[in-house]
Amino acid sequence: MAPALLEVDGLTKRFGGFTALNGVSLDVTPGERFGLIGPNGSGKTTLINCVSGARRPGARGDRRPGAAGPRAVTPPMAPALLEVDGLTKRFGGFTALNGVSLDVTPGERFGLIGPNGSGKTTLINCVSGALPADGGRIRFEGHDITAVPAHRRTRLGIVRSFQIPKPFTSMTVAQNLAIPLEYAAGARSDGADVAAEAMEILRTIGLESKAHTRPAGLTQIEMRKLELARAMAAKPKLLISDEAMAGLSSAEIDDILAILFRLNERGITIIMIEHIMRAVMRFSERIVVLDAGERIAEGTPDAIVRNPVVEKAYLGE
Amino acid sequence: MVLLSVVAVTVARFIERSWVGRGLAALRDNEEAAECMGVPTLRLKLFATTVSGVLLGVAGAPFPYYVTFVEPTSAFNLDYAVNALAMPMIGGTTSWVGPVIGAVLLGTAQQLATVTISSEMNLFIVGVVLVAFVVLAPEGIVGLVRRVRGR
Repeated sequence: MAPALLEVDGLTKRFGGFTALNGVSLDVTPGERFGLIGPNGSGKTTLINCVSGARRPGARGDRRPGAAGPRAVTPPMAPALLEVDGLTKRFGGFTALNGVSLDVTPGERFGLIGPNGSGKTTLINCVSGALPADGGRIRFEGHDITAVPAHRRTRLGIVRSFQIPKPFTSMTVAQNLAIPLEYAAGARSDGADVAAEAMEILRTIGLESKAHTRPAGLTQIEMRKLELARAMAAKPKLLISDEAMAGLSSAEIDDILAILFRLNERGITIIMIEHIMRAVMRFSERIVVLDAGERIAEGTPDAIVRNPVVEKAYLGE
Repeated sequence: MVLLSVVAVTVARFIERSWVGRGLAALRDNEEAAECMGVPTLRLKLFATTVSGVLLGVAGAPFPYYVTFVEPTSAFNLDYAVNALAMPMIGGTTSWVGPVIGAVLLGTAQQLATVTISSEMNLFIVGVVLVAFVVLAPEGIVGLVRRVRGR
């Protein structure tokens, strides 16, 4: 599953009326010994010139990585927003994650499921930076963020909500939102702006009537909404929703789902971790299944439902 | 010394009302959530420790002039450490007024006790009051007032 080091996709090069390369595609994986042969004048050197940047490819040529200049041959190349590559996490002798890899593309609704204790929350903790990874790499928008502290990842755009709501209890709901607005979204202008923006977010999520109460006075669903509202206030590019619906009634689940769909329409990529199959299956475009710290399946919701390996993980043999 | 306390209280008040103070409040409520909301928790903790250390250190400078006689057992006495903890605990730890109220009350009570009962009663009073506040009003006097007002 290693992503390609170099991907050439439909590369075309013309010299006047002569077409030297006509939609050539090839992949080179990291560490590979790759041969390129062909008769004289078949376009080998032209291809190399285009890849190294000595020649510009023709109009519809698309060559990654690096559109400019020679020697632009390092990853990132895939259009993935988040790339998790061989992530490993141990707690003492227990391996919670064993070389898990996954890609999330921009704008995607991504589901992450698995039985209890399969490592979903650990994976999220590693991605959000709450736990350091023991092995593997995490890349966000092409940048390696494996060693970046959690608060900086939030500023980059990776925001997560917590399975068990963790509100700031001494503050009102609106003040709860002011923290990520100030710290993550960079709204350092005090007072009115922050308050207005907090109210705006609360309105979209349907919590504005509670803006000036403390979290202790909220119901369970309002608490979940506060979690989401606070995550929204951090202006995420990637929102990780860790079991935002556990323990809610089906009407409340629909409520939260509608909010998440609306966020996704605004261009926020969403990773949903959930046990409520009805919700994940309806929401996700693509699902990855974890079991005992390993990735056992990936596919569309329909394919996952019919996957015998997934069935075995959940129900046993 | 009056000037020093005014400076210390001003600094506390200024921090509380700034974005740093709001970050510290978030950090106090829930460190993990604060970090995930973009608050640089480690940096803020270091900042808080440094500022507290500086203020306490500065407070130590006029100390020899005040007591006129310094020797290890009295200067490193537990009294000072316990008092420094007890004052904010009694007044309230969530606001800049808390330690001020605590300091005034506790200081006065101690002076009264020294004059009327005996100097040995000092620590005893601090202990009893501290335990009472931790059990009955963990948020201190400020917290008590807020609770009464909130009803």
